[in-house]
Amino acid sequence: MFKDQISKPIIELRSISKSYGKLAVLKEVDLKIYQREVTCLLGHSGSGKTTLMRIASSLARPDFGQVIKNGDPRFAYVFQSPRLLPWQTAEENLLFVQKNYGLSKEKKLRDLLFEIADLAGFRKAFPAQLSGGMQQRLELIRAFAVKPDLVFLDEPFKSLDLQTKFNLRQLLDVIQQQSKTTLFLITHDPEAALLLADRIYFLAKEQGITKEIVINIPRSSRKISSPQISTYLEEIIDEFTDLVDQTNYQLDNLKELF
Amino acid sequence: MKNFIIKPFWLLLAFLIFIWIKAASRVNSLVLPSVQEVAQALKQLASSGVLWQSFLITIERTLAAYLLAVLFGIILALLLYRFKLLEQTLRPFLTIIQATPPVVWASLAVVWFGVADNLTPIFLIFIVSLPVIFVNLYQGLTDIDEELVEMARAYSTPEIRIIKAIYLPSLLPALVSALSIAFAFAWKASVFAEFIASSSGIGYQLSLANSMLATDRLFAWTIILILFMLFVEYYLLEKLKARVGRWKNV
Repeated sequence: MFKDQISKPIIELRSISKSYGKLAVLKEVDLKIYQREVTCLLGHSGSGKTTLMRIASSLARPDFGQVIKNGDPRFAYVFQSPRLLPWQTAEENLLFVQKNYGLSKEKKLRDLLFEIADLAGFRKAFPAQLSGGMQQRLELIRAFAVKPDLVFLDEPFKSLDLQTKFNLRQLLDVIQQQSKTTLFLITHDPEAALLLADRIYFLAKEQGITKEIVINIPRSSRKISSPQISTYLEEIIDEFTDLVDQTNYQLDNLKELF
Repeated sequence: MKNFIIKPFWLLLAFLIFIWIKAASRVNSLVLPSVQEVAQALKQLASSGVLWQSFLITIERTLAAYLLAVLFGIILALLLYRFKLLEQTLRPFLTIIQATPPVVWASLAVVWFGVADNLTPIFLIFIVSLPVIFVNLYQGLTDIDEELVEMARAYSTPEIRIIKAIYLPSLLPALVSALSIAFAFAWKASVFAEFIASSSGIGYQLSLANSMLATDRLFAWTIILILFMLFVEYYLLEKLKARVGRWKNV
């Protein structure tokens, strides 16, 4: 991370609001995604993380507010559950998106991606022939096959077993280190956020971004047990427990009813 | 064909033929003709040219009306899927058409078109197969995975490629099943219409055999009808299904 890069957001969200019917999901949220950084968005369920990401990635429009892009960045996506074309092989799935950007001749890139995702033997396999973890890895490398400027990842580690989660996190880490691609990642998992992110935002329901943490420790030397990371972890847990306190308060009200 | 029909089927078939032989030897051949008599009738039909001629006429009518129903069924499904108002307006009518027994349509066709050689069978086949094509295809359309479409759009895929790479492959299984079910309907409707209101085709030959109490010929024609349906179902359509479902049953 260098100063000049910090000063240049690739995407800037300005007082974004969005509601579904009468339900206000986002209220005047501000957020910046900086070039070459890994940005993590944490928050409890229902805080509007996915909605915010969909707006940032042009999959949805805000009711109010602005999405300011720096230039014309190429986006790629890793969806929560893999969205692979079931009638196309693993390699065809990569080609499908590459073609849209005139990259179908980038065989070397595909070779490399299949190699690091440990899928080299499965290029001709259909998604149904792959395990859940393999499908998730394929979903991940497809994003990088289009040489993106920014990859959006919506809880890619959710509902994965521990080992698969660890592998996927490591794979993401390796590809990002090599390609220096900007990542915007939603996660529930503070640990994953602390190990991967350069910047962590905490989104609270109806309150917008309540916390921003910038982590200035090189990723390779981060350990969950190290004092600095632990401090960050506590800060994040505090954010979550604030919400728990609110819930407890409501529980007290509930008790009175009985 | 041997890939699709399993051994126990042949065993059961042999058993049934055995029962047929045994039973035929005990009753009048008007009630149940013997295997030899049916074979003889088949041979005679083939050598006189009636078999081939009637078969071709029936096939021609069936295919013409069936293809018409397929075309209209596809167009209807696409239109009703695309326009909600049209769906709400027309859907009940299609259900009514489907709920009306074929015999009613056949009677009406006779009233409307008379004992018309082509028109009555073609009308009946069309009206019977159209809802089948429509219902299956419409279901296929509603089953399209919108999340895949969103993914493709997110990656700036041109609409024409979305249609080719997502809509069509999603629809193919539904289309194949629609084609398969509708063909069985069309084939039966065709023979039925010819039976009551035509002077040519397999159905007409059946009615002729029936009125002359030629049970052996009735059996012979039935065997031909069944064999052809089996050929379509287990050979032609299986080939198509195998191609379409390549990615599914791997």
